[in-house]
Amino acid sequence: MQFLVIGLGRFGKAVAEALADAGHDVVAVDENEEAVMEVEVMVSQALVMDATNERALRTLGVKDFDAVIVATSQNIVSSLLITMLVKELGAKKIVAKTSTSLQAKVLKRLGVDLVVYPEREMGQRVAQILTSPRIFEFIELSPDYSLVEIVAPEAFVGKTIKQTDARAKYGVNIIAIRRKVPEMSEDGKMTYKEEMIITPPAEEEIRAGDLLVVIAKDENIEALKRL
Amino acid sequence: MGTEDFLEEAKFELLAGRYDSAERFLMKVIEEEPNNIDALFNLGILYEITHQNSKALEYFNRVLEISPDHKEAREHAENLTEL
Repeated sequence: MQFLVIGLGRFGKAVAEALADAGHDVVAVDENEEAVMEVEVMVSQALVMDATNERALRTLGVKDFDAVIVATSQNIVSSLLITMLVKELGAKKIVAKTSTSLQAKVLKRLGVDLVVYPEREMGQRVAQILTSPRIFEFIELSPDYSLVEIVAPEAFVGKTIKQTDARAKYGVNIIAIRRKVPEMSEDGKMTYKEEMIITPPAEEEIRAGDLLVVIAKDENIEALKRL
Repeated sequence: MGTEDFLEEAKFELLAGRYDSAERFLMKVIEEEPNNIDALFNLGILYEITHQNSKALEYFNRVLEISPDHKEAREHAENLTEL
């Protein structure tokens, strides 16, 4: 796929790198030459350009990209202007970074397909990790239900999923297990490999250190944390 | 049993997923030899596997204090300090 990343701050650079790593064609632009040089070796093309300049933007062939990522939220005016221009130039899909809900509202009005709040999302994750050290991932699915990755409670360790009676007794559905399996490297050092067991069978035994990926009502997740 | 034997037992227990027992053997090594790099590193691995990340980081850092060039300890410590 082909992607255009506009703005190469920390977020834009990370998106460009991840897309390029996954084998996609990435054109990355920023008006800061240093930022462009930093990604030059990783992406298909890196250009120093003022993306608020319509004429310059037009030369990129915006409509040919599968998605345009506008990652210039620091300067709200240029972020909105660039979004408007790429929309006018026929961008198939626009993803825009924002840091305020007001900016998000305007971006949505401009026809952005996906608005992302990296700071807010990371802030929520950090708060979650600090207050619930056994929770490693937290995705709110609805106001009542969430998907979490939680370290297997001691009460579950050594039991099969069936024996834990997780669904009936605690109202949690274990949809996957992430496990670090110890092994020895070629030079005799201890290490581990990561395994993901998707939809584990009822007979699967839960081991110490397993991360359980569960979907449950928030109140049941709270109860699980206390086990 | 000497520290070498305890280390071997600990590896065996770790590979078998018997973490409590592996931890006891590794602690015995450290009681005798507080700077035993293999024991400190393996404790880091054990705690990382069981998601006791602050303890894991503490042991990887102890390895790095004794042996700053320990590549694996450095990698594990860096991974643990990133979100």
